Amino acid sequence: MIEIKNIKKSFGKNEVLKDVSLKVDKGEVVVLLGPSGSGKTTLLRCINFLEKADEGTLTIGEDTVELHKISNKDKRKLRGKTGFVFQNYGLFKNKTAIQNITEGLIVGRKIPKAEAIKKAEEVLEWVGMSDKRDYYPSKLSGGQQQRIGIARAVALDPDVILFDEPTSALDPELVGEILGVIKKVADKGITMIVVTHEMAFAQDVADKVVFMDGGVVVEEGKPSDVFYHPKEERTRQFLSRILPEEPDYYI
Amino acid sequence: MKNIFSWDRLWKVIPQLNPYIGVSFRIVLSGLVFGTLLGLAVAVLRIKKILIINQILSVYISFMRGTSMLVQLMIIYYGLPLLLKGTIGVDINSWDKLMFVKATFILNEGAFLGELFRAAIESVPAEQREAGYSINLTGPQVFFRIVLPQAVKTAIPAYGVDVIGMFHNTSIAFTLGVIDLVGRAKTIGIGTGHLIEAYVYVAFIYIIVSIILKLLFYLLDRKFTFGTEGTVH
Ligand SMILES: Nc1ncnc2c1ncn2[C@@H]1O[C@H](COP(=O)(O)OP(=O)(O)OP(=O)(O)O)[C@@H](O)[C@H]1O
Ligand SMILES: [Mg+2]
Repeated sequence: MIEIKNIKKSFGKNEVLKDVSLKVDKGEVVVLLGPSGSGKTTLLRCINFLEKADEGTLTIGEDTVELHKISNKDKRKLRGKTGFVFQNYGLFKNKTAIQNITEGLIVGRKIPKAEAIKKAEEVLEWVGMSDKRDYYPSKLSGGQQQRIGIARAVALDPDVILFDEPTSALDPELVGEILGVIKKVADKGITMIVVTHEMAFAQDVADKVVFMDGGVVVEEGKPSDVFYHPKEERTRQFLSRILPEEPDYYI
Repeated sequence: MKNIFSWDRLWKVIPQLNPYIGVSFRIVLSGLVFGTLLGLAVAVLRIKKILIINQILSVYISFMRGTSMLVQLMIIYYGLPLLLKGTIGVDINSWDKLMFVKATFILNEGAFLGELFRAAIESVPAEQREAGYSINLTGPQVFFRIVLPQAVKTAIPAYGVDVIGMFHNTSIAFTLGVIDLVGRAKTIGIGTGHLIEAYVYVAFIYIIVSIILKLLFYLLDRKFTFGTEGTVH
């Protein structure tokens, strides 16, 4: 279980997160939606301590910390329970595909090298990238890089994986296959928070959709409820811009 | 004017010059080793932007980049003993003059390489560090395992040019009466009235050294390609 309570974050005078709370049950897949600048990325970054929140608490499993005064030790403890998949893949440019995965296992987790390599090879196979094992990221397509990015997060067996628009940097024809890989992660029962504007994916995979706007959670619920029976006007307006037209006879 | 150059004289100057190659090498080697360490420290400190240290370093760097090495050598030769005696009471007047030449090279390289390394480190995208943190590496692990190797790759070509450049500056040691390869060539020229042969040999040594260094840096560069060498799979 992961719970974020009353998180606040400003950049200078720009109040980006104004008291956001979110609860995600174990195994749940939450899709985070919202217009550009609504604070989705900032929220994920605060959960992974890539950004320091001004206020709020974070609970992952048994551990609860106050985000604005967390010690380095707690930071590493909680980071050990999360994985992050970046919009621009974020693969280490100086490491091969397999080294990108083993790095966190060997250096971060202190797992013996042979065991780490075995584990990494399994995960590479699982994302369909065994044949690119020793390739550097510069030799891989965006889709291939993101498969490795996902494998890197999954290999660490985190309690929760945070995805920040994992397909928005990809060529359109590659989006589907990467969403397929992310769905496989969901099917493993891993808890996930996914920022994406892929509505079909959200409907198919998400247990819960959270709509954010202007630094607050405007509405949350089951995908079918939020998408087709939104309670808030702001949600409706946003959805009308990104959802495919509904056939007339539905209404 | 037909005896400007004679092979006979060339063969004669070679053994007279050879003992001084080592002096030039020792100056460059100090500049390379300690200058690199100093440069790394300068780069890291500047990136941390600690207020007063950063200002001191920026004055130091502007001075080293804005004045000639000859001026720097003079200031270090006359100024450093006064400074050290005045501040920490250490008397270095008895130092070998070569030490002052080496100190000049180290301080000069520290500034140039410091800026080179800083630019290279800052050119590594923030996302590379963040990805490191996201897999739970510590700050030093992220720096040494992710950022530094990528920065080294960026810095290698300019670093190579810089090291080769050092060889062309060792002759400033002559100002203090320290005789290196070029200094010896000059004294031979003055003594015999024939400068060309000695300089031909100096040029020959420089070319050999440049080629060897270029080769070394080429190999180093190859080692740090990370798959970007443009081979087709
Ligand atoms: N490091 C930063 N410094 C200053 N302002 C920032 C920083 N990061 C984000 N912001 C600001 O915070 C706001 C929210 O940004 P954020 O990236 O969280 O939005 P988002 O919902 O992810 O948007 P998008 O859909 O475009 O990715 C924006 O106004 C942005 O300009
Ligand atoms: Mg974003």
